[in-house]
Amino acid sequence: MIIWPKNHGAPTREALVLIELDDADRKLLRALQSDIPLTSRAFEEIGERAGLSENEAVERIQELLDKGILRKVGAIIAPRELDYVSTLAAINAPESEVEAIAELINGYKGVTHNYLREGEPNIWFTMTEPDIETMEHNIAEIEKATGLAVRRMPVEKLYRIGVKFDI
Amino acid sequence: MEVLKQVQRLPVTPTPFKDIADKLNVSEDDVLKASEDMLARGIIRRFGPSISHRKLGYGSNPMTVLKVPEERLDEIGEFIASQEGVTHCYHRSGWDYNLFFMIHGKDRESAFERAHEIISKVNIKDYKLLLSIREFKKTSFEI
Repeated sequence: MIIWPKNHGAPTREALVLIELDDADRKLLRALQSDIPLTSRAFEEIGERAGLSENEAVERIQELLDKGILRKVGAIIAPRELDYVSTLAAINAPESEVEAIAELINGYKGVTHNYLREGEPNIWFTMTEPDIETMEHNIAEIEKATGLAVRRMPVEKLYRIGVKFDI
Repeated sequence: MEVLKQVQRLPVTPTPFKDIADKLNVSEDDVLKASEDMLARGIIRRFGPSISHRKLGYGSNPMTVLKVPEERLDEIGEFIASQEGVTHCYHRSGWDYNLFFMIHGKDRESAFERAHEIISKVNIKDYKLLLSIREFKKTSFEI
């Protein structure tokens, strides 16, 4: 059986502000995506790959950070290797409470992703914490505050992780 | 651990590792060596950018969930993971739908089409495409 989202074809409610990149920005993002070298003048090398001087590379990276296109440049950590625990979780919020519940969930530092999705349940978030007790404590707190059950869907096996966009 | 905390967000300067070293009162070499070590041990997955794909127009990221018989999980999981456009693929517990994958598309139609194309190759009839309507939060994990 194929279950289609209820409002398939409806426009998304969120207006996306698209930012145009010039050619040099694209080259720079591609250079960053193929790993930042662990060398003293790391951005000099990134610049070279993109055909930019060190100064240009540094300035443009800062601009991309300011515009929010880059959230950060640096080490991407594997929480599991630090013995952190995490789970995908979902809650079915009544429409009138979506905002408030999303805000409550966002308030937890360990929540890294939080989305409203079509269908039921509708709020999907991931939580990563140093230990299972903290995670359970937080999720139980969300359940208590909302009066709603939170479905926990931890990873049992990882087949792929890694986002590299065609820029 | 102090080095890890600092290298999560590199200062955007000509000498990022030296700047961190000065802040921690260690040598630049110490910071680079510790970083290499954590990379080799898998604590650091990689050094790279964290890009807001939504701002670049990759606004459509359906999460596809499938109900897969236990004995076919690895076969199907590995196949889906190898498909172009797939960014994440996991077996998860806690729900009837036990295999999850994400693809990113510039628009809803192409993302849907790609997801259906992938699913048609694995012969699983019970699945759902859960399109995101709003992003409330998206950050990188940091300690």
